[in-house]
Amino acid sequence: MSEAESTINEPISDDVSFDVEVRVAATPQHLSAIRAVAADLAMRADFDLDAIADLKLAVDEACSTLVMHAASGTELSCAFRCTPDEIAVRAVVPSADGTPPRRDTFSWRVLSTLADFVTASVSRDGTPTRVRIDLVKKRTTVVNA
Amino acid sequence: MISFSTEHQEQGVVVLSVIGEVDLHTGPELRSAVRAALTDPQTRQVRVDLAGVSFMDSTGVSALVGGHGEAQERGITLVVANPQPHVSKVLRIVGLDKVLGVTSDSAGGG
Repeated sequence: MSEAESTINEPISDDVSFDVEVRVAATPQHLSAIRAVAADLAMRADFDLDAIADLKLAVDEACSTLVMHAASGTELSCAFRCTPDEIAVRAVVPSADGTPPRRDTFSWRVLSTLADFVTASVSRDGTPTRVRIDLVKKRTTVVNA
Repeated sequence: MISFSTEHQEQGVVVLSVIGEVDLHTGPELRSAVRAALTDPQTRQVRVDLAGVSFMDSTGVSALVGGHGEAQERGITLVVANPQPHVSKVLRIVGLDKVLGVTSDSAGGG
């Protein structure tokens, strides 16, 4: 596994299994569907309203970033794992140019503020090169920005 | 989904009311709507009313920041009004709540 990591933390192991996976064309018009799934899962996991809004926004920022990095005509995968304490999210696209997400954007600031852990990585061990963002939102943490 | 309505008030005040969700898909429409309000030669102040915005991400923030910069170049004041709490939160996270001059009708602002 050769990964160029830009890591705040490493919250999700590579061999973890996910409960729900959403696959959409990697285009901006499908982001609302992913947000709806994220909000629904957080609601069913009994997150409070602020934490639901935080997860929805964090997932939106991660997937928006990936849509902008995606190769033309590809799919975005966004997978969720719900446990009693947290929701872990892994979003992946085939990369257009192999560059990792920038960290000096409004989007990254929002994402890294709202998520308890976030990791962005570029994986070059397969074809095509893929860009991935992992994030975790714990049930009890609400960001009071 | 996003929609806009524009109301021209006295003294060159234009109220641009935004309804819906602002994200990577709809952000460019917000940017265009703000630009249209700014290019009216009668405009002295643009008030972007976000009361009807149920979701906004950093794309929306970028659209507002772009509009704010363009307003300054034209000598126009741009203010953001009535954001719902989770929209206010996005503005606070990126540190733009004060830059953009966020007001609330219920608090007597504007």
